[in-house]
Amino acid sequence: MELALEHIQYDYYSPATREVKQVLTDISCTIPSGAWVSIIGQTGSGKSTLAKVMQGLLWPTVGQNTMDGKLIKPNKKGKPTISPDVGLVFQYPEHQLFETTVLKELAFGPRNRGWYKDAIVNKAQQVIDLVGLDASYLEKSPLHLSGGEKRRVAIASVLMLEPKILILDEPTAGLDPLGRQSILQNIEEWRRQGNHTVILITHQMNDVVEYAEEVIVLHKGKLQFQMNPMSLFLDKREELQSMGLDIPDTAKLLLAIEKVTGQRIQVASLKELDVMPQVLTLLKGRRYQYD
Amino acid sequence: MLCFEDVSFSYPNKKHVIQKLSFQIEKGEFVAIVGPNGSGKSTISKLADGLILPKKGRVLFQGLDTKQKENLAIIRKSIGIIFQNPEEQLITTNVFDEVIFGLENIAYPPSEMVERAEAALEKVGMLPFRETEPHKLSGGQKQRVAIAAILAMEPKLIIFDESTSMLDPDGRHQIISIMRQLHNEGITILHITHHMDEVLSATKVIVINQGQIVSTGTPLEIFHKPQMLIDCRLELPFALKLKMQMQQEEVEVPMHITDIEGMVEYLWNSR
Repeated sequence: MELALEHIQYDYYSPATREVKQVLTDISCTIPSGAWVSIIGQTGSGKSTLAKVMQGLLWPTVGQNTMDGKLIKPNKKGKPTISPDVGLVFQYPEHQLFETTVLKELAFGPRNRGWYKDAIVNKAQQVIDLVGLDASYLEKSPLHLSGGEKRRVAIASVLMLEPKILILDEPTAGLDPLGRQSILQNIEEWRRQGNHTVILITHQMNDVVEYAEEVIVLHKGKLQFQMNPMSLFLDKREELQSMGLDIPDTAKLLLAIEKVTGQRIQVASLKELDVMPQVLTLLKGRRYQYD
Repeated sequence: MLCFEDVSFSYPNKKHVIQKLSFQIEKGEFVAIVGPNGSGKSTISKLADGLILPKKGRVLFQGLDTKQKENLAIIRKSIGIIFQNPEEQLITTNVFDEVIFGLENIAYPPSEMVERAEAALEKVGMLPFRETEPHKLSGGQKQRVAIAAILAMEPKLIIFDESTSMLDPDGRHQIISIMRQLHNEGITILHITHHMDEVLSATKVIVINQGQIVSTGTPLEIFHKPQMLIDCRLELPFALKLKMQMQQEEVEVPMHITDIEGMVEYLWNSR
């Protein structure tokens, strides 16, 4: 399912200060069906607001969203409609767990939509597996799980409603490196299995290059770039730095090589597995030249 | 200064979180404790300040045992803790009051309070924000205010309990550089984290896993035990992965080079 945003502007009115703040300014972008797109930007650049606009949780002040070319309209009462095809995992989603068992937690959304009990249980068994836990977790209390496990349950509860597009707002913040990699790996498998779309908001540039096909860069509420990770991180380093954004380690490595050799190595992508062997070959060659 | 002697701790009906843990932190040290989620890292900070008591062994702060109730007031006055979540630490309506709040609680003379609070905010670069409401600050700024509030109490030891893990890269850099600055000024620092790239500033690193010490040493010594780090679910900094790969080709890179640019330059230009 293709999601397109056209000239989105979002104004936030703060009752306390009586000021209107423009959080998003004239954002147009297309998220291709089945893609993994990462959104990067400093804290306060509008990433989380953009995610909510994409899901329909916030209604843009100006502009419109379309899905597969179909305009998303407000409902009869003029209220925003949240698209059932777009799932959103908030930041620190574990704070939202409230049921006494994981199964009840997962059942909450589908039950509100009138699913039969059998269908709920079947789906729950399926999604708990998708997020890297097993069926024994369904009877456990969410309160007794570790931080990483809670995070997985929260993601599973969004997957219950079978979204076609999944938006995740920093899903791995605060997790250790292995926990982080394994959650992203699970999401990648889910995406591949059903031609699903993933939109990942993150500060971890190394994760961006491992998974994303495209990167959206936000700065002060404006879309600065939408391009593939390789061109972005190798060619726009200075622009990113001026926005307070770092580049991934593999890009640093390639740029360091470029600096000493005067030439850029051709690589398939900025994934570590694509970059490391090429660099090693080059550096080893240099050693033998001396020997 | 802080001394753990054979400390074991467990929560009710759970297996041991900490098992026979012994280490010492000397005055003026900057110690980093690293370990994966669930390794018992945060339990250590609670034990240090007597928030929880060891089931076995002793925790001593400047020779004072945390098990003795009469010691706790002195210990807690001397140890400041910065927690993980900046949202959960600030309670007042502006930055300045946040720092004053702690001073009021220790019955600090009101005539000197303002000066002390301003000096603390100045140290973390937050004085220009003295009238700002905490919710308008970024995560890194909130943590800096929390640090100022603790500095005003003149602690002897500051424990940063995963206080960088919820911040964006910019916020993380801010906090790390404040840690370095405070250490240079003579404050003893204990930094608890799972980011390996944050431990380079430390004078000593303790790696823990499943409640036990796996390794102790300088950051460089720790970085040169890659397999141990992998076994502890920790991530090698990228430059060291490159170094390891070159080592397999019997190319040695000097120990002190730990950044990507430096390593590439060395490998390309040295003979």
